Amino acid sequence: MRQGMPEIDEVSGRHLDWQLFRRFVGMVRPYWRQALVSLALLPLIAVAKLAQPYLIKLLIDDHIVPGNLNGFAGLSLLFLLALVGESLLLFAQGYLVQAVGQRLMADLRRQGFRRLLRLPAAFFDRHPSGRLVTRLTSDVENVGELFGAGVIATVGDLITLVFIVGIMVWMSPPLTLVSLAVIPPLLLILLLFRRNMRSAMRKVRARLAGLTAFIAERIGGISEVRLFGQQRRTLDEFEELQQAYRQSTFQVIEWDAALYAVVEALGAVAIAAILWKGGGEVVAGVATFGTLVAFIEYVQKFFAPLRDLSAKYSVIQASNASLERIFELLDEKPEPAGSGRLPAGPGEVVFAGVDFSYDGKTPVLKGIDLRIGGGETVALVGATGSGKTTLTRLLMLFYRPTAGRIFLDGVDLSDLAPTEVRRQIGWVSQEPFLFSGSVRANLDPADQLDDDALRQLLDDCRLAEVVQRLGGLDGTLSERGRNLSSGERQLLCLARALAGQPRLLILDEATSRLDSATEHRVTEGMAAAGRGCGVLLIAHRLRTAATAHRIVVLHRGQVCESGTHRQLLEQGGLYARLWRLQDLNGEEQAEG
Amino acid sequence: MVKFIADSLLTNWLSVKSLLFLIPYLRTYQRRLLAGLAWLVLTNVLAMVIPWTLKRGIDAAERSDYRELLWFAVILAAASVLRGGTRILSRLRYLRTARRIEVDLRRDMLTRLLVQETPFFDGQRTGDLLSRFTNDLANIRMLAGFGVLTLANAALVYLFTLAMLLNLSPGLTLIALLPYPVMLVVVKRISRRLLYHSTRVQESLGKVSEAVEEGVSGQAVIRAGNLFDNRCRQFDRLNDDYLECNLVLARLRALILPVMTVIGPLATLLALYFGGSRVMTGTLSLGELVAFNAYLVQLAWPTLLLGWVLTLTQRAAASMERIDLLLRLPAARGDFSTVGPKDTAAPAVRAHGLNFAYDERPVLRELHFDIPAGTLVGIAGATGSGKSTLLKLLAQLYPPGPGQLSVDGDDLARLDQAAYRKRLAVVPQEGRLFTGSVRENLLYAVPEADDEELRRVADAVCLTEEVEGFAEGFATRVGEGGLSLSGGQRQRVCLGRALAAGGGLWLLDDPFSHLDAATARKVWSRLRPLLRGKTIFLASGRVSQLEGADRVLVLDGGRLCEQGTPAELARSGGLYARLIERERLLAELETLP
Repeated sequence: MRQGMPEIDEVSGRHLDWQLFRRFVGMVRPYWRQALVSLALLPLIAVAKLAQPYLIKLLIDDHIVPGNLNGFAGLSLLFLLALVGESLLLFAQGYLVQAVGQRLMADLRRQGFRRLLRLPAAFFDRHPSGRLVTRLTSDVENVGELFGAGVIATVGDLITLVFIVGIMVWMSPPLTLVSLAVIPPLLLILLLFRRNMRSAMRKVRARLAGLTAFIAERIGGISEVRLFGQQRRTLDEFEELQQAYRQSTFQVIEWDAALYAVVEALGAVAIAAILWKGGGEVVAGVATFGTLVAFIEYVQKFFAPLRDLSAKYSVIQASNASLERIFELLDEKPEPAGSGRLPAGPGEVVFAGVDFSYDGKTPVLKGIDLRIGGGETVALVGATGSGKTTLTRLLMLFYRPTAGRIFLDGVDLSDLAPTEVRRQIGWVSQEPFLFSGSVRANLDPADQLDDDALRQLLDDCRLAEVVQRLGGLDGTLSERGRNLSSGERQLLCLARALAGQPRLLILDEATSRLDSATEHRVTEGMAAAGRGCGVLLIAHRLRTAATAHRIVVLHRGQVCESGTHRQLLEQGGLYARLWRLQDLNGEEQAEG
Repeated sequence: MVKFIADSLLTNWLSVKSLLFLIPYLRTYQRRLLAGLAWLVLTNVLAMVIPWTLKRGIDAAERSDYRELLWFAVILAAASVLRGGTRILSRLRYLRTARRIEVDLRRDMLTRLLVQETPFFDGQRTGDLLSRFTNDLANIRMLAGFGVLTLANAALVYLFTLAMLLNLSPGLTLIALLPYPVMLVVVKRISRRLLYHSTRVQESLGKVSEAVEEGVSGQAVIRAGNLFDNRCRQFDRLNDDYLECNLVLARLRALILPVMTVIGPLATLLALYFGGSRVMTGTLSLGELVAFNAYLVQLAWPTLLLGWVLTLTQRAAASMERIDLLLRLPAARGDFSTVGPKDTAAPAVRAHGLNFAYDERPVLRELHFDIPAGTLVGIAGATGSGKSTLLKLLAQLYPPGPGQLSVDGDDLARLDQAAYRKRLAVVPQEGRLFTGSVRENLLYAVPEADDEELRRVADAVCLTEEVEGFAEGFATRVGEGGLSLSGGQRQRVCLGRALAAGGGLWLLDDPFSHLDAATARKVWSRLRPLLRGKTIFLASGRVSQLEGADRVLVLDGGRLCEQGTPAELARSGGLYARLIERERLLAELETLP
C-alpha cells in the first residue's frame, strides 16, 4: 500500500439494524394519533387508487364494447370521484407523514441538545465541535426521511401489493397466476440486489471517506506538499484513490441499473403474459376485454413502487447510519447530578489530598492541600502546565478528583449537585465567551436583577460606556460578542460572574487582555461589587497576583510555597525566581 | 414539461449561469453520452412497440385470431426484454459518466488547491473547503447523472409518445393532454412558494446550527453559569421556529405529489370517456383505445421524476457556485513534473529593509542582515517576535516585498518557486506527517530511496532504536496526521524528512521543542556535521540551542534588535543576555524537586 492510502479500506458499515429501528419507532409514540391516521389512510388510498382499473373494466365491458351510453357518464364521474378522493387522501396522508417526521426530528434535536449540554466536560475534550453540530443538523435531516419514505411508504406499498393481488385473484385466478409468474425471478433479483448492494455501498462509502481524509490531510499539510515539491506525487496518489473509488461506484451503478431495468422488463413481460393468456380467454369467451385491460393496469401499479427501490434503499441506508450516530450521542452518559443541598456559609473551600489526571496516566495534580477562607483572596501562581487551571476546574466540578476530597463550607463536593456548587461560584475563564443576544440576556440570564442593580454592576465593572455604545441593556451582542474588543468581552464576562452574587469568584487569567490601568480600575470596582466574596485568582502577571492576601505557588501539580508576596520574596524560593523572571520578560508584559 | 423546466430555469438566470460550467465536463464524455443517448433512443423506440403490440393483440383477439394474438404477445415480451438490455446500457453510460465527472471535478479542485499560496488557506476554514469536496460535489454528481438522464429520457418519452398519440388520434390527444398544461400552472405556482419557503427553512436551520455550535463552544460557560435551562429554552424557541417553517414546507410538498400522481389517471379517464364514445361510434378501435391509454401511462413516470429534477437543479446550482470559487482560482504553471535533483549549494542570504504584515498586522519591521553562504544563523526572540514569519518568508510560503529579501543576489520575490525549493530543506514548527508508515514519511521527498538511505536518515535523528522497537519497525503506521507517534518522535521524523530531501539552504523552525534538552543535544550533535557548509537558519525558543551558531539574529516585536556571535551578544547584556538568564532560571525551576 502506498502512502496516502487510507488506513481503513473497508469499514464495517451497519445495515438495517432492527434494534435501532424499534427504538426509532418508539419515538413516534407522542404522535401516535397522527401516525395511526396516516396509517389508516393507506388502505383508503389503496382502495381509491385500485378502484380505478376496475372502473375501467366496467366502462369497457358494460359500455364501450356493447356501445351502451346509459350510465356511461355516471360511471366516468365515479372514476373522477375516485381520482379526487385519491388526491385528497394523498395530500392529507403526505402531510401527516411529513409532519410526524418533522416533529420526530424536532424531538431528536431537542433531546440531543439537552443531552449535549448535560455531558461531562471531558466529553468535549474528545469531540470536535464541528462533528457535534453535524449530529444535530445534517444527521437529523437524514433521519427525517426514515419515517415517511421509509416506514410508512413501505407499509403503503405492501398494502397496495396485497390489495392488487386480492382483486386480481377475485377477478380471475388463472390470469392472476399467469401475470404474477414473473414474481419468482423478481424476488431473485431483489435478493441478489440486497445482498450485493449493501456491501457495494459500504465499499463506496469507505473509499469516499478515504478520499476525503486524504484531501483533509493535504489541506492541513499543504506547506509540506509544496515545500518538498510533492504536488505531482500527491496528485498521482490521489488519482489512485479516485480510481479505486470510481471502480467501486461502478458496481453500485451496475446493480442500480440492473434492478431498474429488470423491474421494468418484468413488468412488461407480465403484460405480454396477460395479453397472451387474457387474449386467449377473450377469444375463448372466458374473460372480457375489460378484465384484460384492468389486469394490465393492475400489473403496472404492482410494479410502480418497485421502480425507485434503489433510491429508497440508499436513502434508508444513509439515514440508518445517521440514526446510529444520533442515538450514540443520546446514549452518552451525562454528568452525575448529585442531590445534596448546600447550607449557607461564608464560601470556605478546602482541598484535602487531591490528586488528578486527565488521562489516568499523567498526573496533573498531586496531593493538593489548600484552604481558601471565606472572603479571602488567594492567587495561584506557577509555570504553564503546573495545574492552576485544572485546580479551578475541579472546584467547578468540571472534572472529579482521582483521589482526595474538596469541601465547600464543610460539605464534600461529590455529595452536592453540580448546579448547586456552581451557583455559589462565579467563574471567569481565560477565553471570554459571550452568547449572541442582548446584553441583559448575557449578564443576567436568570432574570434576577432589576435595571438599577444591573446598571450599578456595569458601573462597577467600568462597562457603562461600552453598554451605552451597544444601545443600552437591550443592545445586541453579535455572535461570540464580536462587536466588542477582547478586553471589553472580558469585562462583560466578569460582570456576568458577579451578577450571580457568588460566594467565591474564580478568575482564571480573567484580566489578561486589559491594560494595567484598566485592570487596576476594574479591580477596585470589583471589590465594591463583589463585597466580601472570596477570590481565587490565576494571573500570568505576577503584579496582579501580588495584591492577593495569600499566594499559593504550584509546581508540577504540587503546592510548593504559600504566603504573602513579601514573605515569599524573602523566602527566595520559586516565587522569588518567577518574580525575577517576570522582570526579565518586561517587554512581554507590556504587550499583555 | 421540458419547456416548463427550461422556463423555470430562465427565471433564475443565475442558476443557469452557474450550471453552464458543467458543459465542458460533459463535453469530455461527449461520445459516451451520445452513445447513452443512442441507447436511450432505442430504449424508447422499443417502449413504443409495447402499446402497439397491445393494440394489434387486442384487435386480433376481437377477430378471435389466436395465432396472431400469440405472435404479438411474443413480440411484446421480446421487446420488453430487449428494452431491459438497452435500458441498462443507457443508464450505465449516464451514471458512470456522472461519476467520472465527479472524479474529474475533484481532481481539478485539488489541483487548484495545491498551487494556492499560504495566505489563501489562512482565509479558509478546512471544514468549509472539505464540504465542497463532499456535499457540494455529491449534489453535482446527482444532477450530472440522474438529472441529465431523467431530462434526456423525459424529452424522448414526450417526443415519441406525443408522436404516437397524435398518430392514433389527434383529437383525442388534445383532450387527453388537457390536464398537463393545467398541472404546469399549478406546479409552477406551488414551486415558486416552495422556493420561498425552502429559503426560509434554510435560514432557520442556520440559526439552529448556530445555537448548537454556541452550546458546544460555550459548554464550559453554560456549565459554570448554570445556564442549562436558559440555553435549552433558547434552543427550543429556534427549534420550534424551524419546525413551523418545515411544516409549511411539508404542506406545499404534500400538495405537489397528488397533483403529479393524479395527472396520469386523469388523462386516462379523459381518454376513456371521449375515446370510449368514439369506439362506440366506431371511429376508433378498442385496440387503439387501449394502446392510446398505454401510451398515456408512459408519460406518468417521467412527469413524476421531473418535479424531483427541479429540486435537484436548484441544489446543484448553489453547490456549483461554491465549487466554482475553487475552480476559478489561478491554475498551476507547468505540471509539477520538473522535480529534478536537489541543489545542495549553500546560498548567501540578504535582507534589505524587510517588512511584512499579515493583513494589517505588522510582524516584521525593517530587517537588515547579510548572511554569507555556509553560515549557521540562530534566530532568537520571544513568542510572537516574528521568528517563524521570517522563516516562512525565506521558504517562500508568504511573498516578501520586491527587493527586500535576496538569495545569492536574486530577488526572492521573483525567484521561480519550483527551482528555489530544490535548494530548500525545511522543518516547519509543527510539521505535519501524512497517513502512512514511518518509512514513507521519512522518505516523503525521495520515495525511491533505498533502505540504506532510510537508515542513514533515521540514525541521524536518533530514531532507529525507537522505531525498531515498534512491532512493525519502519512499516509502523503513523496514524492520521502522525498522531500515533509522540510529539518528540513526530518532530524527529520531520527532521529526518528534511535531511532525506537535502538542500543548500536549511530552515529549521524550533525543531527540538518537543524534545528534552538531552535528546535535543544528541540529535543536533549528529545532525550538525551532516549540514556542514550549508546555510542554516535555526529558530529556537531555547536560546541555549543557539550557542554553536556563527551568528544570532535577535528579534523583538518584529524588529531586529541585536545581531552578532553568541559570545558577543551574551557579553553585551541586551535582550539575548536576558533570554539566556531567563532560560537559566527556567532550567533551575525544572530541576527543582
